[in-house]
Amino acid sequence: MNRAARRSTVASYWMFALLGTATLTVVALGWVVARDFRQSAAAANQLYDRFGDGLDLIDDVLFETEEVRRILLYALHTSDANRQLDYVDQSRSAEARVRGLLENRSPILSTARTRAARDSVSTAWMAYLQTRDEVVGLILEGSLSEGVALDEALGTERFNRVRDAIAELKSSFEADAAAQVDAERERSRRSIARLSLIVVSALLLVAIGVYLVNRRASLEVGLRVKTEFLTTMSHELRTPLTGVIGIADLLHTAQMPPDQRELIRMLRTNATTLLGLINNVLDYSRIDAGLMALVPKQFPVQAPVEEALDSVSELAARKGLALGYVIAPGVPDVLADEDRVRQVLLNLLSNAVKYTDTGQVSLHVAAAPQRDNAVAVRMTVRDTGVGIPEALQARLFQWFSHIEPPGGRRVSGTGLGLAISDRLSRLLGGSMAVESRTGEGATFTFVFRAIVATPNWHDVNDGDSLRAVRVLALLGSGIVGEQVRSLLQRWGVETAAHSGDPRDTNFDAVILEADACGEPWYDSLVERRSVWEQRGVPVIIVTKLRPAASVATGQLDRLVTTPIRMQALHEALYAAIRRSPAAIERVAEATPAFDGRPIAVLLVEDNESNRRVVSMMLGELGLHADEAAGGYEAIDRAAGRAYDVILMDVQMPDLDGLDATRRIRAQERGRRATIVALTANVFESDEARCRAAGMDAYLQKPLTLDTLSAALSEATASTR
Amino acid sequence: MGPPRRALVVLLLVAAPLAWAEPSMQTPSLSLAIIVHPSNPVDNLTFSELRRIFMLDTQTWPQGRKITVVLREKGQPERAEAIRMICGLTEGDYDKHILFRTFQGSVNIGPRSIQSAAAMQRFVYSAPGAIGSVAADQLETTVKVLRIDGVLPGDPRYPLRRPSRGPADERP
Repeated sequence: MNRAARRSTVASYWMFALLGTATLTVVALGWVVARDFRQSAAAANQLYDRFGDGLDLIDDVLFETEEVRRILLYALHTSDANRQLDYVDQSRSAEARVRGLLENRSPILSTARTRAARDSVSTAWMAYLQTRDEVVGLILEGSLSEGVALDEALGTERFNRVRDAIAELKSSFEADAAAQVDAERERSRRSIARLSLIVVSALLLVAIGVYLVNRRASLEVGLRVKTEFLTTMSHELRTPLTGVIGIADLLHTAQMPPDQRELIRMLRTNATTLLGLINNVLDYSRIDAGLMALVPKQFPVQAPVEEALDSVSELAARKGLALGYVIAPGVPDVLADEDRVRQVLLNLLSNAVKYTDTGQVSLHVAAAPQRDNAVAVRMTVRDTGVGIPEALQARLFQWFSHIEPPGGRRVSGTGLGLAISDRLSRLLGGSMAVESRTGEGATFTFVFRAIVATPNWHDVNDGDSLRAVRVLALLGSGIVGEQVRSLLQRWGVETAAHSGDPRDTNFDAVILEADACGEPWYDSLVERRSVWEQRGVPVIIVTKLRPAASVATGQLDRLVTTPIRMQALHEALYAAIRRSPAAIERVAEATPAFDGRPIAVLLVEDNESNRRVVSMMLGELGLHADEAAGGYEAIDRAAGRAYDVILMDVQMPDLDGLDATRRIRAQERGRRATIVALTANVFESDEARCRAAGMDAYLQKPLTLDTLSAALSEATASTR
Repeated sequence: MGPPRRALVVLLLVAAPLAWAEPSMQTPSLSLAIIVHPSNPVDNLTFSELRRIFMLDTQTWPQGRKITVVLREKGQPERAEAIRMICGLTEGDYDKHILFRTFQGSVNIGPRSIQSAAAMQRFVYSAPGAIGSVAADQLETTVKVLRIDGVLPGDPRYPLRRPSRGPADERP
């Protein structure tokens, strides 16, 4: 899947998230609007009820006021005091009902206008009642004619005012009710509009959702098709190219005229370049599609380093560049994707060689411990090439960004290598960085995260011991000399200084860097070569991968080509000193061996195969060890027997070696066992922790017979 | 036992049940309250003034409003009682007196007749110039009670009172 498609996929996920959020919002809004709509409908119903109640109330007021007056008129038409009094009572009852109606403070007549109209009715009514009471008095006192006269003169007029006030109240109420109905109608209209909008929005969201689902499905289909295409193309392109390269290799060895041989060489070079290009394009596609998977495995760090250096050695030799590496002490074997580490290194080294015309390309490896048994491995590739302008450095790790070196010289490239390396370094949990100035070379730093591996104890270590061997190292100040010096230091080889006297042969071998011809001592010492040869001192020549014209290779003991492989230099040196009995004796003395006397040994190791190998090693030394598969078992065994030596694995699942040691020390009575830590951890802090827990010695895996023998010898030295 | 002692024994035998009788069985005195409209400024009448009003000799209140005398209906004992206590006449004599005054033309409207004490008080409450009478124990607060000779019903000096014949003597 290309970047655009991936962006589309990411965008579709975002869109789904937004769609979900929008849907929830619409549902929430819909709920709110539906609630408003329900409230509006309920308010409308309530309004209509109140409207009806209000009209009923006003009609009741009108009816009762008329009743008050009508009954009074009845009283005017009888002279019976009791009947007159009955009518008066009925009139007063109606009056009480009117009073109750007018004093009704319910929300029915709650607006300012209706309240004012009601107050007008009350005022008019009170005025009429005053007249009514006077008329009543006249009636009851028997003055009917005066009562009639008063009623006609004043009562009628005042009662008409009451009627007018009630009519005004009614019209005010109707006007208010109409206004409220209009407001409620408007609210309902708004609710309907909102509801319609929400329905439309919901439909729109559904449509978008359907579109996105279809779009995502089509993208997934596209991704699958592209993946299948890449897989097929990878196979189909690489297979014939591999064949072409193989045939070119075969032809290269055949007898043919030089011009044809050159054509074959060019054919192979082009085919190899094409294969590299295809690999880069496929890697780019895999990374871009997120299909690049890591395959971790355990490996020593120098393995991918040496292989990557080998791959660029031919071009470096053609250009006369020095090539080498230095691994700092304490860098452990690691668990990571070795192929990807090698790929990144190869890319960085080939770039460095490509852009460097003179000088050297070096690789330094260091490690920094991290939490959870992890380590950050830092690989620094430094060259003495043309450098990279600062302005262009930001583009270095972009896809298809190819940078031409200053000076107009063209360098081939697709612009994929560094981008792939950058992505791979991040995939490996690390980073990629560059430091450079124009004309001062470049330094690329590649960091990846790895787990510290527990090497199998039967893995081959650096080989046979070279401890105490004396070597005259005539090395340059470049990376090759630095590498040789670091290796000699690692193996415990003593580097002898030359006194300047040609007869001085107080060393077991000479290592001569043939390419250090610029050094001031070079010529004189090379001339003394014959003296060393006459005295039987072996000379190891370290040189670039090209015919060493300056030295007579046939008379040399060993030729080690650069980039130096650690194993090759070790073997050359060991082979050289084997001819020197004095050296062999010194090595044997420097490597104390166990004398085979019977001692009680407890081997604590949770890994069964490792336990068996170490047990066999102990058998080689004439010892039979008790075995414990874990920390608790070790404590039990130590409690039951007094051991001379306990070989304690540090990392164990049930109880680690540190805790087990503390408990064994706590329960010890009398003789104190020598506890030797066996661990793959290589940092000084690890050794300090072991000693703090009560351990006496510290053996680093992988374990060899020599180191085991030496450790046992040292452990029992105090008991001899 | 001589005759004086025999007479004493008879007297004791007759008087003992009376002495042991329940207090509630004793007949309280009945006062007749004179009532007017609450707005009537008159608070006190002499017994003589009262009699003149009921005899229709006085027909206007001091402020000039016509006086309307209200009595219970004919045949009701309260009417006769009131006429007797106020006017000192029997009901028949009173009626004749009214008829005579009407015939003389000195009276336009005679006393109004009302069928109950409650109606009496409602009438007086509704007619500002009315004056009526009602047993003091049936008084309501809607009307104004006049002092007669300066005293109100319940006072021993109140002139319109007599021993009651019992609680059931009043018709509703």
